[in-house]
Amino acid sequence: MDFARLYKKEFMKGRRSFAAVIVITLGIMFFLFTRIGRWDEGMPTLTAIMMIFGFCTAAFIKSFDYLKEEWRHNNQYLMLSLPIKGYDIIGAKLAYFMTEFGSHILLLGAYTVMMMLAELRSPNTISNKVFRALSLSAWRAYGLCILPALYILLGAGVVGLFAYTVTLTVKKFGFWVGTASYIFPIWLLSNFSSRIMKISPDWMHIEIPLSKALALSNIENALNKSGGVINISGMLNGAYIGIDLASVAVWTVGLAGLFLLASWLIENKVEV
Amino acid sequence: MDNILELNNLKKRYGTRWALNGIDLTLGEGEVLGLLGPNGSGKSTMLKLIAGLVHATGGSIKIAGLNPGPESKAHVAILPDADYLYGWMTVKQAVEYVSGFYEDFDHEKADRLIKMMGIDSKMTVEHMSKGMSERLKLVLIMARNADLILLDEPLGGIDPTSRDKIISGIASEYRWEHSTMIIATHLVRDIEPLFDKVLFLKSGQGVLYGGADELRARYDGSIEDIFKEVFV
Repeated sequence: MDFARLYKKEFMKGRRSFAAVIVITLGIMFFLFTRIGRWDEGMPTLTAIMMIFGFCTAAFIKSFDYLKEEWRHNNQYLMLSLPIKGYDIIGAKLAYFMTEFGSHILLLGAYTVMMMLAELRSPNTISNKVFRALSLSAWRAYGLCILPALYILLGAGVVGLFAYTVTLTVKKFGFWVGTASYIFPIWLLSNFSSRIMKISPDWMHIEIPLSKALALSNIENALNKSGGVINISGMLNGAYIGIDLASVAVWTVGLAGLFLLASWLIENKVEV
Repeated sequence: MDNILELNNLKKRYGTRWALNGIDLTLGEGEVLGLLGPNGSGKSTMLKLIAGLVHATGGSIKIAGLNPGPESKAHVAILPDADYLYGWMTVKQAVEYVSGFYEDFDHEKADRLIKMMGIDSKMTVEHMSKGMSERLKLVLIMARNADLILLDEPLGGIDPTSRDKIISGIASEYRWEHSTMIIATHLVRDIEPLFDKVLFLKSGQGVLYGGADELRARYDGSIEDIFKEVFV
């Protein structure tokens, strides 16, 4: 219940700016849709992709800000006087971070796919069948990318909150302590996970040929029925999409550890 | 009488400076302690330590037998000397938010206090005057039936009208038999009738401690007179 109350507070605090950003993003996307056929081919989609990168950068910066805001306005006196556990505080901030940026990334990704498909459709040179096959592949690509993207976002949120909690604990040399406590865990986990990946058993490597994952044969069939002879699967022969479960496990355990450490610090070491 | 608060050789250091150096104190149910001293004497630090807002460098703190932490915080209501409420919240939202965390929060008492203090429930915190915001903070503290109430400079920077309302609020809603209260202040005159005990702090150390009546008799003057004698 404490978590729910804290999360509600975060949501109530950020709801107006959250809604405003959604409306502005929608407006920009609508504008980009109207530019299809007027701007150079690919430009609207490229602009939409650049916006996703912009939001990723904003997410990185904002991951520090959720706790910083409390200290900026003296709200830490209230936050730290409440009879709540550290994991409720960090958990609520992380959950709202995921709500805010997760929604933006999900929506922007979907807009971008729609934009790309609209651009492909606009010259009216492809048949309905080819378009349907392309749509399936594009949405599959979206589905395949969004889950890792949300996982990376979660990781960025945890590390950002952890790094800021460390700066609150150490108090001195804030920027350097924050930077070190952001970079070091990522370096450590990357290093460890890549070593683990090398020695993990085969069954932990899950790989699917890219052409199968993206259903490229549908595009081939559609194109070939339209009179062409194209072998995309052949071109992508050897390209795979996959994950290593051991590596994911290392990152998950590491991030959970950082989350718990940040929670412990906020409960036992951080001061107003 | 059960002990609500026990401080044993309590110490707090910020960098190389000792803000509090070896405080011993025991308070039982229903006692009101005046924590007096000039700025920088360690009053706020002592209250923050008890409330778990800062952590001790040495010694120990027991609140209702508990070490400072989430469990002990359920017994403590602190009014810090900072505008700690969220500016975007309305009075109603602030009451709803804070009350959700405490089982001892009395909503009827809160409504009564809001009316008594002349606070508009629809107003947002950021649009309140200093006096009104202090009154709202006091409502959130006094509406709780907490075992230990800590007030840090409740009258600091407040105009006389708000000051009277705050003192009336404390006097009318304090559970005299059941709660223990520590009031840290250097504005002694208005509030000294509330004190049962007084602890004078100077440079982080207790320099004088005793019952309020006993000290008045011993020094033949008010607590404010003693305050001037000790610190001036």
